[in-house]
Amino acid sequence: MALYLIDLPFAKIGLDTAKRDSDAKVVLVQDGVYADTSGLSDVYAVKEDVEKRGVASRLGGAKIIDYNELVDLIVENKVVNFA
Amino acid sequence: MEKNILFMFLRAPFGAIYYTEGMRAVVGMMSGMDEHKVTCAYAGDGAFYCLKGSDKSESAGYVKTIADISETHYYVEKESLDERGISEGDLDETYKVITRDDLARLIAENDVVYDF
Repeated sequence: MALYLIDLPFAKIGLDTAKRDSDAKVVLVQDGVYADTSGLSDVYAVKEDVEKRGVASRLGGAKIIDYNELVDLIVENKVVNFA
Repeated sequence: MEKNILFMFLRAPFGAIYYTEGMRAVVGMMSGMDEHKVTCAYAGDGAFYCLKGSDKSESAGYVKTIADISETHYYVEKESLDERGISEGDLDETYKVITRDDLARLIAENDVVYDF
């Protein structure tokens, strides 16, 4: 079970790898909020990145979190960085 | 306390120093007081480093130091090779081909995962 930080350059390999982890938590950061996360159930997106890019309506089921919540997730989980 | 550490090399070599700084960090992890066990996996554009012809002189010293310390596994991910049209015959023999499933398993099995 790990927390996958995803930005766009490594989104393909990162999300594909996360799908092989049944307990994966995925956090979309920066341009990662543009990524297609279909097939993943526990997805978060960073509020500032979503609002700046105006993609709140395109996030599917991703939960929007702020930086404090992101830090909590990072501290509480094993992190795999694809950002 | 000894840990199992996976180093993922995801970035294309030579455009930046990640590929060799990562190797320096591997030496640091292995030769420190805790003598951590390290596995290296090349994926994404990092797979280009595993080509036979790529210039490995800058990190050769690290590779030698690592070999002196303990046997270390160097892997390269098949899906990344396929996406870039790299065949197994193009590879330096140091790098053993694994699948993305194997990479996901390495991520799960190792205590810590670093990316360069």
